[in-house]
Amino acid sequence: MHRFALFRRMPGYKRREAFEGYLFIMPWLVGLIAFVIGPIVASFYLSFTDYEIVRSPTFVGLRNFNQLINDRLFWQALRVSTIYVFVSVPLGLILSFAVALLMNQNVALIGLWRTVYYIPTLVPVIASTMLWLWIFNPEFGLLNMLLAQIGIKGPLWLGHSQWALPSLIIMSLWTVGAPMLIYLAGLQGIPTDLYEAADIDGAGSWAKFRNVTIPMMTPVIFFNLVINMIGAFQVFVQPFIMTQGGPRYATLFYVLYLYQNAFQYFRMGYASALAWVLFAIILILTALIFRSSALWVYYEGEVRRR
Amino acid sequence: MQTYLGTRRRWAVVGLWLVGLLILSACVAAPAPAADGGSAPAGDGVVEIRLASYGLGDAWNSNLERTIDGFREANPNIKVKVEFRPGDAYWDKLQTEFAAGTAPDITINQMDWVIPGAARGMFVDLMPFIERDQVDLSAYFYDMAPEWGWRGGLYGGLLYAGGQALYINKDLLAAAGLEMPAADWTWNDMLNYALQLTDADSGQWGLYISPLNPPYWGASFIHGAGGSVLNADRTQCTLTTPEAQAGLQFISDLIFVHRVMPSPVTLVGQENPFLTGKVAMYFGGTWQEGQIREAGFDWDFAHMPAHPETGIRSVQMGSNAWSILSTSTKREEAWQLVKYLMGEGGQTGMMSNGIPGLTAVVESEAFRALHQPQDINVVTSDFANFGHDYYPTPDAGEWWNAVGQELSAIWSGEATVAEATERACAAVDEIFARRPAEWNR
Amino acid sequence: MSTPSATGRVTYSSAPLSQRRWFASKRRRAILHKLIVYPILLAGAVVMMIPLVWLVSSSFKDSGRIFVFPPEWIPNPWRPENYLAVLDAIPFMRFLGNTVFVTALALVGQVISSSLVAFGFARLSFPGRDVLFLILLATIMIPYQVTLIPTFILFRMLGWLDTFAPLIVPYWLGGGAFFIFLLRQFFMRLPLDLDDAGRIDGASTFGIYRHIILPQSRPALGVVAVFSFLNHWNDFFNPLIFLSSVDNYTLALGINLFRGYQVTQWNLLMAASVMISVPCILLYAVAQRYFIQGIVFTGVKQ
Repeated sequence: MHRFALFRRMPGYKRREAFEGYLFIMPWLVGLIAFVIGPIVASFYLSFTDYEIVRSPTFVGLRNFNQLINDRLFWQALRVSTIYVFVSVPLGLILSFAVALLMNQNVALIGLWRTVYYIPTLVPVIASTMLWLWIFNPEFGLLNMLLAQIGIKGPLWLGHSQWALPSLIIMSLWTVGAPMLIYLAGLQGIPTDLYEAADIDGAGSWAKFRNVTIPMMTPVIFFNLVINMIGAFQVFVQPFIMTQGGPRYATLFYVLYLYQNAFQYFRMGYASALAWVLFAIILILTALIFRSSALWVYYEGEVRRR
Repeated sequence: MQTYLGTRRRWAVVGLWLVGLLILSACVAAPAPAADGGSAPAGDGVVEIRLASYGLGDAWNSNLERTIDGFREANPNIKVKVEFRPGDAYWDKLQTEFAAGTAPDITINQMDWVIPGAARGMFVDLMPFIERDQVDLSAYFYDMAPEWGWRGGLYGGLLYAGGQALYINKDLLAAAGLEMPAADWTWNDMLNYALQLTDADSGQWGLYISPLNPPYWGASFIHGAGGSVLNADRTQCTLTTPEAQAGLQFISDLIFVHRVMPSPVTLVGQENPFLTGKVAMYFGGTWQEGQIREAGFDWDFAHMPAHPETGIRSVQMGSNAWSILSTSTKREEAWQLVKYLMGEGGQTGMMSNGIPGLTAVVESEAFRALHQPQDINVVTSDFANFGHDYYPTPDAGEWWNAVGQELSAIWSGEATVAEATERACAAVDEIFARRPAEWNR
Repeated sequence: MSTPSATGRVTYSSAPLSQRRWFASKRRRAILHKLIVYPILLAGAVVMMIPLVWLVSSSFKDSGRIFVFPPEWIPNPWRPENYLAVLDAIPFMRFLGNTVFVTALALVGQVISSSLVAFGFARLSFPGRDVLFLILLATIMIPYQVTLIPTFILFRMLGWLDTFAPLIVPYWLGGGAFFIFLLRQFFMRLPLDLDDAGRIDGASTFGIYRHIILPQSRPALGVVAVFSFLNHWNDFFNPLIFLSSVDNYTLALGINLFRGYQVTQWNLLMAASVMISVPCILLYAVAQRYFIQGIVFTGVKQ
């Protein structure tokens, strides 16, 4: 009621803009109501049930959430994913930004370079994971052969509980193609007159990078940060194919454990509870990033400015 | 310069987009001729049933179709639709379909699915049908009950048997001046062979065991030493008993003391070294015979060695089955097909892809000829005399995983056998503590 | 959720140099620049190319030779007939047709609908906008594993199982919060003066979207199109769950028929993977030059 009253009190042009705003987001709203909300609400309900998929769910109240607190593997999975997110996301963001800058240079055959650097993202996952199994092989793998050249006996990588997670983090850095491409598109969108103005002021490369490129790129950095954080919490395919969570649960990523509960251990209700806990964690982190964005993200077209 | 759309035309564009969307959804939803769940009878009393399987290569797929053709000819009133699906996420999809009521009538089934599904009412008990139709279970050398039985019911009909087999590279044996081992050889003899067949300089190993962790081939060494993975009631982990630990210690010593076997962690992502001629004796699966036959060296089957003191020999066996889903509304027709597949027609038809369970077929010249010049009866007689099941329980997937996670620390040198088995049993017992009361017999 | 207010204009600190000295140092720096950039580029390129080279090489090998360590980069024996075997083993052309159909329709829908929605979120203000945007983001924070079964049941009730509808229609309805968020970020970078100028010229809101914001956002739209194409082209999971007749299979799903439980026909899988991914690579190589123009670091367009 309150909202409608507010709507009516708006000046005419504002009311029209609001109406048009709803019109523009209408496709998403329809899709949300038709395909998305229902399953999400269902999974929320299922988190309070004992649901074996092949039998009807039975309501158990908060039992799944109580069980979760005492579940050693839940804490292990949370630990693995948290380490992965806090290490691989910042490293990945820096590396992909560096590659994007490199791809934005005035060099010969730039189209070819850009394609080559995107190839890891284009190769089917099954092929690239099989290849990484070779790279990490302790006896014949590329990494340990290189380390042997400089007189170091390499570790067991995926076969050792101390090294398995670092191995998967190293592997994640190699597919920087997607954030790189987004950065590259962002670099394209920086108005050239800003650089020209900087040239006239006699700014050096570093000053231009620091004072033009970085501020103009903050909305894109912000996007990559949020999306990669969410994505890193949901990593599933690589540990599923390469390690099945081992050795000794060292690569038991959160969503891998969730998947095992859902489809291998007949505990879909428990898996739903896991999903909603993860949701809460991601939501809080996202909210923190959004709050902090006031301090460091610069929008040229900030609508609130009006 | 640009021209901007007016208010009315703006509406027209949005309207057009919506109309396009409606037409589009109607169009893409239209090509829906294929079966959507339980399809209706195809008329004239003809009933269609759907059988789903993961594809196992063209030869396998076409062989299954050919085998089922025999059923189609004999049963013109039953139409069989075979759906081949990727092995990836097969089980996930089947559960999803089951929940939505669109599952096929019959599915291929395996050790880690049968009992977990059966205990939750996912599959149909075949025992009443077997008793009604007087199917003679004593005609099978392969006992189905330990693998697919639950509470007196039977939840799968045999597709084919399989399990552990010991393959020997005869070329490497000859190069070391060794004869094929005798049928009554022991672990000590095997170790002697392995020591003579290992050549670290050329990267040649005496033996290799894969997959290693119980319920796979490591379990047969635990059994040989007089131990077990679980107790007889399947309610408790017994890996911490001295016998079980001795069996695992034997394998650990093969890797770290005698250095005749590569650690599984050093072979991550690599082609099976037996296939590349780098391993002389290989404890593998019967399903690898085809690949080994094409590997281009002379080889043979050997009997499982016996433990020198206990005298026990043990081989792990696990089979594939056909199960009827309890959502099927055409159980009678589905049973007719399962009966055919587990009977002579199916066992003979599929014998080029696995080991038939019917004694008459296993001993037939036609089956033995498929494996010549090797003698498949070396494998099947070990199955019949010393076979052990995979310890299937309703929570098999979960505790198998826990055992594998903890024991893998032995093979990477991170934990002793005692430490790893302590942790494995703690994890398994924790899983068993969550069982509903009705699962503990 | 809060959106930040604009910070001040950027400032420059360096003192101006004389024109001549500036040019001289620029040339010197350009050479130095090349000496640094090319070796880095080349080293990185080698690392990036390894998987593709390995994939292509594997596709010409015998099944048993693929995982031999260390890898044999030159296949021996040479087995080009793997490619013919792929065409024999699966109805490749049929799968290709299905894939093209699904990818094209989903891609068009996704680009149109996500840009419309993103425009609404980025450039218009309306009550509840920030809450709705948070909801949009929240929908990608829930792992799909737990919404899969309800979604499957929903599509069954709609009668959409084993049709292409679940693979297309949601993408016409804003499906892809990722893309909406991406475009919103890019739209928000454009100065509001653009909209104001448009309005003074008498443009409608739709006109501003169509004739001002979209043309200014070509690189971002290009990224959306590329990602959308790759997502739908390579999607294995959704077709796996929602399709059941082999006749309706897409390529990414179809080639997985080479993977059974204990047996994988690796040589055929690799050959089929090459047949699927090489068109993607070529398409990307061609497409990228349309949405990414070269800009040198000084900001002068090539």
